[in-house]
Amino acid sequence: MKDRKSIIPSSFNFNMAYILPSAGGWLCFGLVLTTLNFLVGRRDMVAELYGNIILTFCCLLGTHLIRMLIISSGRRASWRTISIRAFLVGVPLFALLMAVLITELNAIAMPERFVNSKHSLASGLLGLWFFMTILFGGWTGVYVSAIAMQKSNRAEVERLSLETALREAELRALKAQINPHFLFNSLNTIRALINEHPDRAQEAVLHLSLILRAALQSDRQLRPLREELDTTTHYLKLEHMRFEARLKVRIEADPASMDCLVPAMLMQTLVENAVKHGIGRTVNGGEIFIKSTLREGRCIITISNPGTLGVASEGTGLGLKNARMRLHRLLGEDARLILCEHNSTVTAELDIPAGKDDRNHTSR
Amino acid sequence: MIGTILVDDERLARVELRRLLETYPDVRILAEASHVEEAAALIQEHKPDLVFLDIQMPGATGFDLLERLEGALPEVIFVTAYDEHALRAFEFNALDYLLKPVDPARLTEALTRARSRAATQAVAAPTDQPTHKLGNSDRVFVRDGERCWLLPVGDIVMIESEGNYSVVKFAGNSPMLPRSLSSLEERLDPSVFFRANRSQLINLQKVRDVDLWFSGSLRVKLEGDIVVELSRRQAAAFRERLSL
Repeated sequence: MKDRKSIIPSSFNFNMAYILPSAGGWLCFGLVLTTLNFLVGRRDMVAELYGNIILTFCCLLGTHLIRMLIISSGRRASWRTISIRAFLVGVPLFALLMAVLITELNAIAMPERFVNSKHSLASGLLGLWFFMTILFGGWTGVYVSAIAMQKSNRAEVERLSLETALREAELRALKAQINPHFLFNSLNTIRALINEHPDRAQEAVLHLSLILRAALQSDRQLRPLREELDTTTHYLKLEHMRFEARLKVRIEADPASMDCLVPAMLMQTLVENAVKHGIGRTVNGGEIFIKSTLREGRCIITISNPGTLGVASEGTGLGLKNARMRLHRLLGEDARLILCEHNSTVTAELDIPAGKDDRNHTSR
Repeated sequence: MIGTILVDDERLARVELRRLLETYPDVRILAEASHVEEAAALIQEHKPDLVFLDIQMPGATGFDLLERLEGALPEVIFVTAYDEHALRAFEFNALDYLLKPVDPARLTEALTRARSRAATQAVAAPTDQPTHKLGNSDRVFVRDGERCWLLPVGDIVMIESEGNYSVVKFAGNSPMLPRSLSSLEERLDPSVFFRANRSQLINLQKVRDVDLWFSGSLRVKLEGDIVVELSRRQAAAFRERLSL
């Protein structure tokens, strides 16, 4: 995980995931061989046992050497070259080496068994080489595929965590960020109020800090409507200081709907749009009307402002598309956001399944 | 004394700007406007030297106001909270702008620049011209998509008619104006701008070369390699004008 560049991470060198199966496997191999010898009823069991211990030890040594070869070339070469090198070079070479070693060790341990001719020694060695090659080939196959599987698992985990991080970042970006135009205008308003109405300036700072805090709390994607409406109210109070008589606000919130979970700052975005298009673009302003109801397991929130859709739709298309995408990601395709115009009033309707705040959802 | 008008749809924004301007004894606020219509009327009435202009206003933008104004434009300092498009236009064309909340140091700089521009203009063109024609250093507002200019009239090389619109050519640019060529000609100084033919008005100060062409007609080469042909009748008038 830490070292993505090397194909086989260095931590794998003395990994229990290698030592246990490999040593255990060869030990089992030796035990099975001994049991078979015993069952077949070999007379010289001590000699067979010696031979099997030597064989098991040499298998362990040989495969470890093959593994060292794989790891040493793993830092530079591609996975395919490593496999080819292991099978064509490592397996036959170390099989021969071990065959010679086994023969030598056997000869040292039991010289009385090796009084035969040179010819039979050579053919015995050849047979042993063949046998060891098959054994090592099998082992290398298992080892290489285990590594490959582990590697692909790791890649999968990496891909998944990357995707999660990406989605998280995307959601954060989609979530209504503080609109700079709003922020700087508010600061300008506050600066003017400091002289004109110091107490109202203090109030405005409080509103602004509550809005900023809500926007910065990016750890929660969903939150109860109660909190969302609270932030929106602060926002509208601040905008009222800026637009003065041009902005009127009416809120009708059904108490039953207050616990519904809504995407954080989504309502804020919709209200910001309503103020921008409905109030900011007309000389006399108008009323922003917010209403929430709970009906048949669905939470319906409407935000209305005076104006028309056609004229003011440049630029808002993207914001609306983002809001919809985020809504669908958080609450499924079942959640809807519709914008419609009727009698010179634009209404945004949010129709979402009424998921209650059960403290598990909200924590992320 | 600099007579100025504040244009912003937010009362508190105007209050704030007025408070900041109180420290400059030579700045006098003639009027305040909360939208473009009101601003246009007040500017015609008071003929201010300088206008502080917000961009985003109900109904029409500050740029729309400049396009709408007849006659020579006053000095303009744009004031905006945050507007990416406008900021790009300002940076590109070196127009003067202030960001809300306004930094007093920046305001002082902008005022200094506006004063010096107003001074050079006063020297270049004697005020109280009886004709109300635009002088060389008077500026007009032209816009081409996202780019815009407060263009001194003297920089215009040629104006070409295109239906009810006119294309203004200067320094490689050719933005369109929503006015007819003849209405523009009326506002320009006839001793500087010459009607070369039915669809082209040229700046005589931008003439680089004149060639004799067929049967008494002329071929005039202007700055920026713009070539204009003059009919025999117009060529005669052209000769007369240049010999004056």
